[in-house]
Amino acid sequence: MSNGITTPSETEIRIERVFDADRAHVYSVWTDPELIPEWWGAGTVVEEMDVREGGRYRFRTAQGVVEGEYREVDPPARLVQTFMNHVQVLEFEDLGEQTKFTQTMRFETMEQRDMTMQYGVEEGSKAGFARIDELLRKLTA
Amino acid sequence: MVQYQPDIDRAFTALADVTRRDVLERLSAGSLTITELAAPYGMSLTGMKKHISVLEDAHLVTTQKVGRTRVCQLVPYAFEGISVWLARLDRFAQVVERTKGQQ
Repeated sequence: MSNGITTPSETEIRIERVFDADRAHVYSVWTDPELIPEWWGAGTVVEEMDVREGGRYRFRTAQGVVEGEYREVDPPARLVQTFMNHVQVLEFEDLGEQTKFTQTMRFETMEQRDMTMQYGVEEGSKAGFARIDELLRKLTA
Repeated sequence: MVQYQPDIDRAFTALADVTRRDVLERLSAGSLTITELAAPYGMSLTGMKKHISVLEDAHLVTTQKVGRTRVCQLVPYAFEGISVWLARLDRFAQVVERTKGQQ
């Protein structure tokens, strides 16, 4: 399945993708604590996951702790959460047997947006940060 | 892209210090305040603030003012970039496929 990546504004990144499953199910995989480790990576521990507006999540992953707050919870159509340095708006559109998933990442500044964009797509920077990631993994092992 | 290279230089500079590496290690277990971070080293708050500021410049740590204290946290996923998100969505799609119809 293909991914569409766009930058709808100076501080946003949008990823669009169609999943071969109905909307309620796609939404539930995002919000079911039992399934989180399956796609966040082996060894991920869900320490907190209170999927309600104002509720918090905290996952201990191989790369460190990920935490944030749920801002809007509107199953099975919409989920807004903070994620580290940005806000993620997750929209689930009903296409019958398929679901269109749209993830919009909203950053405070264009610089933060560009860094996240750049480190994922530019080989030189990626190699540089892979070295840092490796170093951090050793340091935090 | 050349303009992003300084960030990597700053990251390596930040890591070239045993206290800052130790701070990163401690933050990997969760958020801590400047006071909490400074305590084990018998360091002044100003000294720790300087270390944190170097880590912030390198985009390895973010801080947030909560009341009168400053809370520091590691940003392991802030820089993982789009390719990592896409890889995660691939894994997500696999979980969707595998668990479909179970509910």
